[in-house]
Amino acid sequence: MWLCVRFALLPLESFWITDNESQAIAICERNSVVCCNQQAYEFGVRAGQTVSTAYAITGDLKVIERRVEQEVEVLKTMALQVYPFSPVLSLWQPDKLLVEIGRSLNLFKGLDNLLMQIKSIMAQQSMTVSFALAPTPKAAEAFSFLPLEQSYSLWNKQQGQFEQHCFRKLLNELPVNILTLDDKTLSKINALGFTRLGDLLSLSESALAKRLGRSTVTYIQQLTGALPDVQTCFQPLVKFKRTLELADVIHHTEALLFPMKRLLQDLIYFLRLYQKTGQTLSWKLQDIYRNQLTFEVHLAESQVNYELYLELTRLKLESIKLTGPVESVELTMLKLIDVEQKTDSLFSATENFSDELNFASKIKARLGSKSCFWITQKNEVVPELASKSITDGHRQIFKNNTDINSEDQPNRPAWLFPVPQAIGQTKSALYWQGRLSIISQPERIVHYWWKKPVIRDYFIAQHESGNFYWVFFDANKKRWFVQGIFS
Amino acid sequence: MSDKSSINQLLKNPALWQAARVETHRPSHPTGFEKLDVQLCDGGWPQGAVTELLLPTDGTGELRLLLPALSKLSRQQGYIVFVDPPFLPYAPALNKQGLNLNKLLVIRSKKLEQSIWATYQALTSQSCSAVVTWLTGKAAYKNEIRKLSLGARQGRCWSFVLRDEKAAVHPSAAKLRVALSMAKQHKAISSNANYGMSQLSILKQPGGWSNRKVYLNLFPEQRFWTSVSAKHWSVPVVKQAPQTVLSPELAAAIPYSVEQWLKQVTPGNKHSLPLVH
Repeated sequence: MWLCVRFALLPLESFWITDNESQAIAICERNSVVCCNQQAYEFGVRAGQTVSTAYAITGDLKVIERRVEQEVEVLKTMALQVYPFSPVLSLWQPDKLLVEIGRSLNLFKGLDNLLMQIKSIMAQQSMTVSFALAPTPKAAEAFSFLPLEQSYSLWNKQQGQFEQHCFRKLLNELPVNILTLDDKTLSKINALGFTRLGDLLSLSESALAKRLGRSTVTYIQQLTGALPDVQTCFQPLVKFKRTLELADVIHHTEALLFPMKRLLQDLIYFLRLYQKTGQTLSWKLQDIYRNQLTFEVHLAESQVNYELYLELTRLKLESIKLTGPVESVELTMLKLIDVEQKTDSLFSATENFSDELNFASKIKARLGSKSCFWITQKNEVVPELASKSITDGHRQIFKNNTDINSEDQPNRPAWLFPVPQAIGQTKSALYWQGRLSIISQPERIVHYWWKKPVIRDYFIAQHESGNFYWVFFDANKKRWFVQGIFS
Repeated sequence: MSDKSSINQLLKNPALWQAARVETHRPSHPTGFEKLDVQLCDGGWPQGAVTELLLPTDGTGELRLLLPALSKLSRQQGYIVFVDPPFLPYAPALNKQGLNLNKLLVIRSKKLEQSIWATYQALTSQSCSAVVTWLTGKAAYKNEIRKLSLGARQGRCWSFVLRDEKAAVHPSAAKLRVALSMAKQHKAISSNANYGMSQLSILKQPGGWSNRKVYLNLFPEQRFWTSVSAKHWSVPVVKQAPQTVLSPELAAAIPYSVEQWLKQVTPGNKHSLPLVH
């Protein structure tokens, strides 16, 4: 069971238009009107007219060039809104969403309820939609040009299926011109004298194929359900980047808050849906001179909170000076991180610390993933190999660290140089930023004789300032090195 | 005097120390050194506050001083965080001191601002029991330490700031300020009872006496080391290499890398060494 959601005014509604406006607006593409708002319609502006005709009808008309990429973005946003109702959803560009809802009816307590919910969501987004139901996606698309009552009456609530003979009847009466065939095919059909789909269906398959081509036959067969029609499902991207094109340019920063609110609402919806959160809101304003102004709002607490986001953005906006009238606003959330589940005591706030690592993910998000690391001990004889830094997957090191018995370990320095530093030497003493005196017995470490032999005599040396260093004599290089500090 | 008078308002402020009032119990954690606990008015490292540790150089025994407390905290809930340590913490040594390495997170930042921000995040996260931050340079860091104090109070955790001893001249918002230094090697011999001990001076503590000195034996294994002077040790001396004959000034200018060194002391330019006079 397919539901078609058609956005009839998508070219118009993909622009951000201030509400309290009695301005007539028309969207044009290649010098002809594609769609217009209610005010322009009342004047008599219609789709298909040339721009000069539209201007002739009313001089007080605002004409905006169509932005197809922007429409696709908005359609994707709408798909995201409908996605909770059914995972089988596909985008039919330019302006339709096809949703398989047969398996969602029980969950949403019936068809009426489901349609009402989708309708209210679309109303919140201030989008004009028309619905249609049909057993095949192509039929649903075609019915979306008819009033909903017609396709709704096909559904038999008691039996939970479509009335096949009613469906057939409606198809037969369908005007040929609303089918989504290319203009050439349509004119060919008109030339043959067919006005209803029923006329075409009464012809045999081979006769149709001969006159109109194979692809048209396939289309009609998929429309009636004779051939399967496989849809590619919409896969939402886990990434937030939205742009809002403004129908009227904005001159003041205060006025920018209205489109920003809309973008932030979208963001909050997105974050709730994916259980994500982030650290930085990145705003990009583009003015009419194509200058781009970007600023970032950093969030100390990575919580999903509309008021907080808005407040921080407002604060930041106060210090921003616009370079010109703003034409579009873009919001991106960088570096999304998963929301971690919080467990709290139900009764009283305990004084104990929690074992959550939220703070580490925040720090990583801002300072880079290499900025935080854990340290693990390994069973190695060569000192620099016995300690290892691990940037992630710290749960795995837990086991390693508890395996090693710390009691029998020899005395080791707490600080280790990443690379041993060479020591200067005279006949009787060692110098490393001052005089060193050896104060312990040697500890010989010999290892890796089979590949790169390590032969070292380790000593503890006291610096003239009193600090203790860990030094060794490398028998291979015949030199002294300092490797660590006892601290 | 009405209850709303300004003096009464002031007296209610917990940040104000009054000599006449005997402080009730304030939360703290034993340092692991009884001698030190006695001198500290809270009986240990104060909770929910910054403790500032001033050091002549890195590696004066600061980890030995902190580790008994940190090890105990690492056995409970909450993480231990090191922000910008000067070197790599070495796992076997920390493990031997009893620190639970599974709880130790090390953070490296590039700028002071980032380091303070990361510390503040850790302090206020409610997931860290102790945060140790290393600050380099001799600057006053007045605002930074004040910010960390607020963070520590909010997160009710132990915050330690380690910095150069020359910063002692600057005022600081830290609740407890302690300077650590090592007894000098040359100072002398067995007559000094505190030889080999580390000296801890309490520079500031609210509600207690400052300018106290405590001597702690941070390296108890010293007694197994020898007190014989280095010249009695058979230090292996390299005979063939030309760099064995070095003036102490030149030697003090180490570290050099071996390659760098060899480049300089090739026989041809032996006499044009920059530091030999």
